[in-house]
Amino acid sequence: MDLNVTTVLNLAAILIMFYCLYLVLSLKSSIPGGMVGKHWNFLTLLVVLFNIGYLATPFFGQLPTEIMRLIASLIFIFGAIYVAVTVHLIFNIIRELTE
Amino acid sequence: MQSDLVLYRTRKGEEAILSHDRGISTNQRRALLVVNGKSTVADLEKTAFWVSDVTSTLKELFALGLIHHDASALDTEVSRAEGAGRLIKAQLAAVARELLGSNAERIIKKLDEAEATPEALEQVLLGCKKLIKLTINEEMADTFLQRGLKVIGK
Repeated sequence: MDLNVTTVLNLAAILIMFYCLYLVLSLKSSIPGGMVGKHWNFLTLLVVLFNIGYLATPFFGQLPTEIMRLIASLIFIFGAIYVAVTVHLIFNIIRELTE
Repeated sequence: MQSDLVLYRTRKGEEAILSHDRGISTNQRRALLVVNGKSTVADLEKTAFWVSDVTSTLKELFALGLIHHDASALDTEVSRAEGAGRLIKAQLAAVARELLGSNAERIIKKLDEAEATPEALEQVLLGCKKLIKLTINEEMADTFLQRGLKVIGK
């Protein structure tokens, strides 16, 4: 049962992350540069990394414990960076629009 | 001035009323207010008793370009103003193309959709500056705004 729930959650996470990848790539052409454009390339890179990391999650059981922990830690650190960049970007956009 | 003429306020006349222009006297303002595009000079002479020497005052307003008896002249005035607005928009679009190249299309679309008044264009230019800074090129945003304001004479 636990395994089924975990698998379903993993699959959902992978699908959502693929959707995020589709969104960042399709919006890229609308944001050729500027304040958002600069951050967008970095966010796209992070989403690509997340996709790779999330795709690896179904195989976690077959990986050595140390490697599994390392991947989880990397996902956490890049997740934190992603949130920081996004919040900073939103902050800058709001500041610019309310000037 | 012929007594059967129907008088209209020109754009300048409308602006003089709205802006409380001090370049005209109180009597001239009263006369300007009764000009409605329906009454003839004779009608105004009969009804506008609070305006002293109606005919002379109307002549003064006519000379100042605040009223006109020919409605088609007003249309010409309006179309001339529209033409000037289109010209300014074209100049702004040229500035956008020069600074932003192929990325200027969204900016040109916003300019096209704006009213052609200097105030409206100034607001659109401020909006475009933000759009450029956020999504196209941070360095070009201020340059675009400065050159755009110069084009509209601000």
